[in-house]
Amino acid sequence: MKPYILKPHLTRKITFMKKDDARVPQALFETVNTAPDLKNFPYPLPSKKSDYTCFAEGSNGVIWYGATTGLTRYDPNAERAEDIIMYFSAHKHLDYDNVVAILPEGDNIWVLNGEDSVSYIEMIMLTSEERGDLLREESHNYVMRRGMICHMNTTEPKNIKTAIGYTSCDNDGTFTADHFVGEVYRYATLKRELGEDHPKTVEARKFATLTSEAMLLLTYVHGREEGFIARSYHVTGEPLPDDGHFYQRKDDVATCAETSESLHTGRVGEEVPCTHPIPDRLAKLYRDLGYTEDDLCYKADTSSDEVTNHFLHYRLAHDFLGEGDPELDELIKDSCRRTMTHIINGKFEFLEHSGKPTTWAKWSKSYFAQAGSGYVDAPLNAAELLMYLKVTMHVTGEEGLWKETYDALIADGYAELSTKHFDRFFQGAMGVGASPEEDLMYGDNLLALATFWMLCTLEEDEELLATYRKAFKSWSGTLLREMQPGYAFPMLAGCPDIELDFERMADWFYRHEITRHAALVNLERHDVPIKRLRHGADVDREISVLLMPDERSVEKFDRNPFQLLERNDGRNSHFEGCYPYTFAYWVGRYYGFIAEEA
Amino acid sequence: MSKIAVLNEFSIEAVRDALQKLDDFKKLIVNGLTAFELNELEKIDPVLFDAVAKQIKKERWYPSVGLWVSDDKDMSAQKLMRSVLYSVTYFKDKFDKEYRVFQGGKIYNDAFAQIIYNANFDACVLDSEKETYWLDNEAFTRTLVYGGLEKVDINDIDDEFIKANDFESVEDEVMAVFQNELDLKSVKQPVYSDKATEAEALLEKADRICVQEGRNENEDIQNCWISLFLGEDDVAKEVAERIIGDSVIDEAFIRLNTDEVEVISVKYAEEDNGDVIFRLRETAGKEKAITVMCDALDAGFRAEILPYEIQTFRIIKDGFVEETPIGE
Repeated sequence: MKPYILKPHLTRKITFMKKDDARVPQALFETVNTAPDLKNFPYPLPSKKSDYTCFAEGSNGVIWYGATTGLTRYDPNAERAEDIIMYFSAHKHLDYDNVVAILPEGDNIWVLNGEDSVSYIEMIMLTSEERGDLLREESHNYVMRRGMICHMNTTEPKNIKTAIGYTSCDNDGTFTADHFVGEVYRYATLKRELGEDHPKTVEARKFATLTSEAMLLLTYVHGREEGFIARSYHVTGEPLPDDGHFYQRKDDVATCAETSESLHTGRVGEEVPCTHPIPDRLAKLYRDLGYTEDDLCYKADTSSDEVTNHFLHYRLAHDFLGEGDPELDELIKDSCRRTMTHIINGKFEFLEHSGKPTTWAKWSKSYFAQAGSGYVDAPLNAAELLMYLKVTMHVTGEEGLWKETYDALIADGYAELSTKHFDRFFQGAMGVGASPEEDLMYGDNLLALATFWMLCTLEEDEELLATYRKAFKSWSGTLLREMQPGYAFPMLAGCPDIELDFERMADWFYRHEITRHAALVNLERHDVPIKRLRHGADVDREISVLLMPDERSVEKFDRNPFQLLERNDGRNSHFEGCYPYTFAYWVGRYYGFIAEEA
Repeated sequence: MSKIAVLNEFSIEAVRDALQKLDDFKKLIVNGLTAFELNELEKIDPVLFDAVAKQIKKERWYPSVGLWVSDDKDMSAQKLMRSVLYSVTYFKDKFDKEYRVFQGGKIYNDAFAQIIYNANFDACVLDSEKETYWLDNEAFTRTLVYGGLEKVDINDIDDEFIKANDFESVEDEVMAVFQNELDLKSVKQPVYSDKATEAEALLEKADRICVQEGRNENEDIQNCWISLFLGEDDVAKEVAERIIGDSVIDEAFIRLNTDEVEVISVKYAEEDNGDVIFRLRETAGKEKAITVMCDALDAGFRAEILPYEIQTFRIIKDGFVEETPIGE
């Protein structure tokens, strides 16, 4: 297929300041407001017509409308339908929704909002690659910690430069794996296009390798002899969140710290040996910062989310980094073998040192037989286990126990079971009176994506491949409704016959901002219906239209983009990692689904 | 296995007999009576109706919720939606009850699955359907058609039989199926173009004229639809024509940016609170983003609609919009 050609596109850049800031032009305070006549206005408007209090003409026929409920940009000549009406609101673009005065300046605009806040909104022309580079820069400078990417809080609202440097993340492996995907496909693409020695390729390889090492460290940081994986780890000086089970290393023993959950499960003080050595190459990630093994406190009770994403990482790291870095490749193989052995020895459950399974990492038939979550999870979890084995064979080049287990699981119906997702998922939702969108654990979308993307690109048996593709497509309802190229492109790589709306994919790239500032926005808009969900379980309201990324809140991959989030100030000091963008962009570039205009 | 006791005969004697048995046997559950039948019963014998109502509220009598009259078999999407709407609304208003299992005739309309789903039913039991299967729709909606019910007629069973058995509602038996391992075939009804009859079209027009002109005649229009469900098309037409009078549809009242979505209904909400309902249907089998403009109501909104999907929107105060279930 020919790639879809992405063109440079206007991108929002917001600078927040107070009205006494010397940069604010005096003319902003001298404007005279006249309410616009919006009778018979041809498009839905984000604010109620009577809310608009001022308007001004910008460049190229653009008209800006200020309202008590936000700012609207109207470009009657916009090439793309999504660009005709744009909306800006608190807290992502403005401090307050109440626009008091506006002053266009070329493509940009000064906006006095609330009593003393000013936003300077620039509309800058960027390629999609440039947008990704700026997002990476923000993440690498302020969100990344010891090679891991999740999210970061700041001491000052909206100011990434005040990042606190540590964070609490339940799934560091998952989100870092997603970031790794973007980095490694960036490296592979640049290597193909510019050559291995080009400075951009060298820089790309550096970060792909760093995130790969951070991933691998999570598989050794616990020091357990059995092939365990930690969810995350903290170092001395970082406060432990009161969430989950943490083990503080000291010499050869790690002791379970006190948290609400460990008190509840009676594991406080539990001692677990930590005698398996951490490879020096990975230990550098904390030793270079002055920490030792005794400074490490790792998080256990690992879920299948983590395990699945580690196998995604094993495969891609081996394929793209292994050949040029034999030392890293040996670590990948060793970690992969140890993890796979642990799962097989645990009879397809991920075990704590006590021999008890973790809460959410089960691929056994006995789990699948459990009514409720086991029954509904079975199609995905069955496929995950097959993916782990397939990846292990691919990475290690070995068959033996891996192939025997894979073949036995196929004979036991695991592949066929993977195709039953849609039926069981719908059944499970309806059984509790919810809609599927309401009942979905959104992280499962990414797990299904990683699992079937890998299976469909590794399996050579035609019959099994057809089964995996059928299973992959059983997820299309929830995956493709998000119009998110990070889901759509791997799915297209695995199932080349699916139809994608590339214009919608392009909109997603074009309408991303250059920061992952996670402040919430106004979603209760006049032009967007609010949808009451079927039975109002966990999420009781959605917006019924998928808004462009720059008009909704920044989220991780594993959130519902339709969820109607109520605004609060807490998110003003929160920044997410850039991986949803870089994952989508570089996978698309690598596979030739998209390209930049020459 | 629990028995499903059903009232098949709609008569004063049959209802009395069922109520007597409910009084005599505390474990007995009775199923039956449509919205139409209960409505009639209330007119004919209010005391008996009150007795049934008490049992419905106590969840010992489960009515037949779904269509206003259960024996309809073939109908347009408009008629189907109105029938479901009035039935669901009746039970909500009268008994404060919402049910999850649709019961009624086997309906031949490709929009059936999504209408049932969007009226917040999770499953349905169709007269004479013996198979259990998923009924699918292009619009990412499905419903479980359950054909495994074994019913006994409440009027035919004697005291010994009642003593010897346990009883449950259709609702409970069907919903319990969701807890089992299901491996069912999935069936899609063929897409075809159903046309509203002349009387149905006139009623839709009457509704739209009322909204255009700001006069609410919901009660008369609802009565017309109910006449129409009973086959009295002429009655419905006569009233619709009276409401319409010399008025004509203002095509500019509601404007869409595509010809591939039709406006099925423009009407006042059933609660008579001034909210207006827009019902739209995609006709070309293509997912699309659309805009809907209605200056008269200060409303303008965006929507995304799936192939052949029917979407219902509620225009509330100041032109803000909610997407709402069909049983609004």
